[in-house]
Amino acid sequence: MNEMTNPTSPAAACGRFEVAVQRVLDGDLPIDALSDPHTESCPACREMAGATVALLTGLKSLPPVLPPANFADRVVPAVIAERRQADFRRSVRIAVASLAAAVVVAFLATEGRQSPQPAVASRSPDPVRIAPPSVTKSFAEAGSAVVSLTKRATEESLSPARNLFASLDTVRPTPAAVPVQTDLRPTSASPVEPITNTAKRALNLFIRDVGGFASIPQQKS
Amino acid sequence: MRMLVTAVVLLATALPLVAQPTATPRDELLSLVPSDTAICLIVQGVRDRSQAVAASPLAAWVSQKYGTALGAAPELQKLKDVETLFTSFLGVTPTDLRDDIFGDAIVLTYKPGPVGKPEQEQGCVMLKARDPAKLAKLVDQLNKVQNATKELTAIVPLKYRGQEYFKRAKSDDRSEFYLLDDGLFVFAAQEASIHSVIDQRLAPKNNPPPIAKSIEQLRVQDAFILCWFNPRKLDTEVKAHIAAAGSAKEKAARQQFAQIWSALDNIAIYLDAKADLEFGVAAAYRADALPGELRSFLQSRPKSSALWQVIPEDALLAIAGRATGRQIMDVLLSFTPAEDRDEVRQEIEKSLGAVIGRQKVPDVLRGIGPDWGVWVTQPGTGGWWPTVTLAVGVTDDPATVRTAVEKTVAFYSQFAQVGYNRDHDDQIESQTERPVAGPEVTIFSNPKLFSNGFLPCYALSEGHLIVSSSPKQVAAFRKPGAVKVPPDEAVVLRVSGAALQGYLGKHGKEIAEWAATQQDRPVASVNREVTTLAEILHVLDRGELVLRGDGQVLRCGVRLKFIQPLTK
Repeated sequence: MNEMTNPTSPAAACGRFEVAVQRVLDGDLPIDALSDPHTESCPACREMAGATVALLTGLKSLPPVLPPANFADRVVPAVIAERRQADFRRSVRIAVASLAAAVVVAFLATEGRQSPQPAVASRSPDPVRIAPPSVTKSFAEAGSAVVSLTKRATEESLSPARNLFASLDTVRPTPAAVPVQTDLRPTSASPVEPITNTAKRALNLFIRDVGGFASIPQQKS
Repeated sequence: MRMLVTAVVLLATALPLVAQPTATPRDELLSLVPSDTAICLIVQGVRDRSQAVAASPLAAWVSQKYGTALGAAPELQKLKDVETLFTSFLGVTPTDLRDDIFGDAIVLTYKPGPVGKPEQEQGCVMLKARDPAKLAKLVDQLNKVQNATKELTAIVPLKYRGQEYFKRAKSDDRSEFYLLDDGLFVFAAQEASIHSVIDQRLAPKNNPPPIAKSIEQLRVQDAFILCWFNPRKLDTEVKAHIAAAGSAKEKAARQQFAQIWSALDNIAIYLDAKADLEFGVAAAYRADALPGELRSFLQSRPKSSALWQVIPEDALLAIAGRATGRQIMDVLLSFTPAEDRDEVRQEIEKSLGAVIGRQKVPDVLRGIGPDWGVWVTQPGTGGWWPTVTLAVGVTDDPATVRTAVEKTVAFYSQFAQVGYNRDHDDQIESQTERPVAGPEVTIFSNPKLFSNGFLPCYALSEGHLIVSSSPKQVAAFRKPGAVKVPPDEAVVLRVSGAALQGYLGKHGKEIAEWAATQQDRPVASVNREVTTLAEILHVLDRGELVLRGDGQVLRCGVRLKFIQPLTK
């Protein structure tokens, strides 16, 4: 039995005290739990107990943190807008990836025409005797490759323009008093949402079905 | 004689049958689309179009420029592995897939589940292969391979109304269904979808099929990819969305959209690749069912703004259209609750009325437009900021409109000037100049605030209000002539890739330095981005947003014209 596994050893007592400190900090145990007899014989744990008491006292003395007025009103639309943007970006990625997949098939086909392919028949495919790769895995990897290629190409093409336009954001027009104060901004929820949502569901089903023939794992929407 | 009459009758009966055109693979598939389909995605002509694109000058240019980088991409190796899977184990090459299996037409259909039961949605994938034997072999090999890898547990033959189809029982307890018959392949994850296709196959045929008629009406029948929507099959979702509106503003916007939606008969999103690439949306509608505010725009053929005649061909960016101030305001307000509309109208009348007299406000709003345009051009000497110019038509009849607009612009520009000067040490000064041949131009100057060639100014001249960041542009403005032959399409927006590339080439250094200061980034890094952007723009000759229509159908498309044709 070594020092750590012996329940009566000083090291084991330090370990138990550290757990107690953690539970006090988590609010599972009252602060009195720090008055352990072990601290009288262990300077390190005594120091830790003192620091914990100081931290908890300091935290109690801070004024309560209250959310500003209309916090929820401001955050909820922002979160919804962000989620919507993320959904849109994801849908665009899926659509672009689907299109890219078609382009890649066409590309491979074109490449195939340029460099003569070995005759398919001469390979005598016999999937039962030669262990074939998993269709699922192969298609999933190809899907990832297409998405990765598309993302990289899109990112490399769009990021210069995006970064330059970001500079324009820092230029604010002169704040001039505008006598007509009219809010004609669109509402937070787009009126076309039922159509875009249905189109998204259709896109997911198409991908699931087409992918399903080869059982490509789908992201949960 | 009787024999002769019989022969003539038989011939007359048979002739229409002979003359009837053979259904294209696309129409053959569209004839199988269940009538309750809400969304239908069609991909056609993959073989011909991909070959034409691959043989095009643009593809040769891209291949020469980026081919090495693309060939070295690690992702390409994975794709080559899939190619090996197809060639070695499934017995088809990518060329076979493209030309003989996917080459003619692929159709995907979607029917949403009932409200509250989205999981009951249905969809299927259909294709018509040019080489039925190759398709049958591919399906057979795929089944064998997936059996060998234990991904499938059984292939079960089934029958519905005499038509054989198959169930693919999978190791994860899910099932899939397919029908394979003489080059036709239908695949679905729901058995009911296959049954619907078989029902449709056995039903009397409409020639051409309804969806083929719809896409012809929308004039997108030749598009490479198109997604067709049946608005009536999505009405329930639109109504449910109105009921779920959280505020009066949301409800008003959704109700306005629902009214527009109810006026639509067909919609399609399309992508076409010919000499140019074009994608957009097409809609067939009943103009009399549209909300009044939109009817005036959509009941006739879209017209280009006359200002396109004076917008320089080499403008970096230009936007122009036709609408009066009143029409724009009415369309924007139509998406707000009725009580808000009155409030906004009253506020505008009060604010504008204070300057020009309240009784003149409606005339002024009607007198602004209908032609308007904004364009961005290369900067003149002395700066790198591009020049921005706005021109709006101002009706001279009644004569009061011109004076009222002049008063309004002068008042608001002075208002902004006073507002700035009150709070800043540096001051904006205004002066009026009249060149030898040209209108009186009001120019605002402030060496600290307006630099790099930016000098805001305006003038009322040639029946237009012209606002620009360069007095030269205002002085050079000439009234556009009448459009004698209306073009087939109305251009709304134009971006010139060549001009943008030229601008970045000439002023890229200054732009990079400015952007680096604004974003607190190293100049070299921003400079690299500017160079990359210029390289990308080199491929694009111009991009345009165009409208085409006839009062019953409207197509709104983004057309990208490349430096070399996209197809051969």
